[in-house]
Amino acid sequence: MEPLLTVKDLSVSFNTTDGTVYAVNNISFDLYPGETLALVGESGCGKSVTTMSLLGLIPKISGNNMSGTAVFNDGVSKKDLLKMSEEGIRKVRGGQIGFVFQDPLNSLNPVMTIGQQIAEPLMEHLKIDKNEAERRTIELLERVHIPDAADRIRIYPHELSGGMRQRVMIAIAISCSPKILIADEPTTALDVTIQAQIVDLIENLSKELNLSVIWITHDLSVVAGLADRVLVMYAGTGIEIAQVDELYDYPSHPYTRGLLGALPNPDMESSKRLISIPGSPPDIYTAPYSCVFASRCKFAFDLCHKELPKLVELGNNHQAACFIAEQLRSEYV
Amino acid sequence: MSNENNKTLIEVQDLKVHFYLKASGFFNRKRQAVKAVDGVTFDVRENETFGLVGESGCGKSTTGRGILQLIRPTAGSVRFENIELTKLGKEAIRCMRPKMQMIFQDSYDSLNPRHPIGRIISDPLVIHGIARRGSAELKERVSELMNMVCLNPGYVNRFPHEFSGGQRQRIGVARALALNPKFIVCDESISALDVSIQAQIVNLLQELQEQFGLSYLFIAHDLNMVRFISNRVAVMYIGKIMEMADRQTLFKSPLHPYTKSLISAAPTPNPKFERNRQRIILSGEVPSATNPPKGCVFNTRCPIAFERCSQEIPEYREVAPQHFVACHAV
Repeated sequence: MEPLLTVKDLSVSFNTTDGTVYAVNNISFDLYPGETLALVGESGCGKSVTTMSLLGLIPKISGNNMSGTAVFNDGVSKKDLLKMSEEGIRKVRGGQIGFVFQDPLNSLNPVMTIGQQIAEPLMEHLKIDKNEAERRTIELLERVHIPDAADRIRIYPHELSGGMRQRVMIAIAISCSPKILIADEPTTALDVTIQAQIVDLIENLSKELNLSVIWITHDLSVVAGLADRVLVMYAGTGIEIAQVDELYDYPSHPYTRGLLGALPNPDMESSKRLISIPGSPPDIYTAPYSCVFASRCKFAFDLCHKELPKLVELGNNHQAACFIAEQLRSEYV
Repeated sequence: MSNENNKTLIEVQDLKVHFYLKASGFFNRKRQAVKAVDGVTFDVRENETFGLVGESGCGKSTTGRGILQLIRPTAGSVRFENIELTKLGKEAIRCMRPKMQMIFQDSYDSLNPRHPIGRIISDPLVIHGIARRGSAELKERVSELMNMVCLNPGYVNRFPHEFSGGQRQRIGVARALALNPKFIVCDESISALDVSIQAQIVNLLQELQEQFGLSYLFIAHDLNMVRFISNRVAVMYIGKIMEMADRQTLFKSPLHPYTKSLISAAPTPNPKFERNRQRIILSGEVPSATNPPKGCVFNTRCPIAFERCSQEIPEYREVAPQHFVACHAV
């Protein structure tokens, strides 16, 4: 099967008054049709910048540097999202690629009714008239399980709860039948029971519409049940990628192990200690020249401080960027 | 850690904290009450971590503040080592404060940005007259506290913004420890931190508990973390406790439908388990505390609600030793 999206060596850096911030460094991944890929990492690891660059939301001004390719294959033609013109990317963004962000209150326009906001991309991308757009808007609201959809199109975002707002965002995201849905921490700001509702909704929609989903999160628990593959990021670098079962069963990068160890297991006795990772993530004012995790890694040796480890194939399509990844993986077998 | 024979440190009886909204209109003098906490009863034992979970707005933080008398309760009693706190005046409460402290969620808002951290940590000692500002004794105590929470004492003159989130939370812990308290309310103290840093702070809290025999009221919405750190857990919903039991019982054999759905909604880092588990997904959202449902507050979302649930408030009763539930169906 051909991938829908092929990201290769994506790097993004920003020149600031404090120096250059190397936000994303040589990230590569494929996204296949119908697949859910999770990007996991802690704050500041570059997961949001990665997807913003795919959506053309990083302004192309001097000081913002972007390199690499992101080839989107919509079945008709192949195009590089990073090299497209502003006009071109507008046709894709919100059309073939839908997106949902963490904070729906900041993502929705407070002075437009939710009906207007859902109808806007419909009229823009599908070139349909107002009445048809309204009919589809009601359909979409029903699809994301908002009760009394026909009346709700006239209300404003502040009249809705957090969970309902997120449903509106999802309705906008799927309005133009996208091929890819980018969900950037869509449930982080929500309560547990509402989080379960939203996860359930996105999972069902992705099955019904055969969507490929890029799910960004900091929480390895949330994506355990819904991702097909997981890419773990640290300090702007992709450090491990594998099928979901393989990754959770045989984490082969010390950072992934640390992340999993930091989560309490339901059956864990509280007399035990969580495995914490000492220190905090590095600042990213230098381009990585050695392993980005070395300063916090308990396995680190000379080489780790000198050379940048590349992703190595460990079998089973499992790759990790660590000099001793093979050894770490075999310890688990 | 603790066991059932430990002495009771804090006894909360039928605690109520109501807030009154402004009356709307001149003739309508009846003020509407928000029953943020509406009759909760539990106790915290010595050397115990008592977990309080619930969704946002359920009154768990207000309960914590009500216990510390940061908000004076509307009704009910809070006894700390058999002293009735709700009856004490302002000065008397101040004398009790050294024994009960709080660690807040947002370490940025709870540390004064204009004060170096040495000042922040030493303030409680100075205010309670334990040491004079500038004395050698105070300096020594501050570096001791900083060592305790694994902060380099050399950073004593730095300001809060120079630290990372995890380090700032350590400063908050050091300040709470300054007066050798017996009881600390941890109000979502780790929620704002990254996963790897969360584990550091949780480990620190547990080490300090063992070292000093502290009791914690651990308020959080992350069920897995509460399950890990607590000895006993209470589940709150719209100002009321729905269920309380020791952590094994509560998580392994929950009785209240709300507890069941909360547990089934909390994801675990286990792909095989997650794919096959049956989630109880609650419909709708948490009703407002201004206008809570009649009868059982959970009846509007409860999958097993029947007629009686919307008419009669279920009694909070002990169904098995040390296992309390408020539900008609149990």
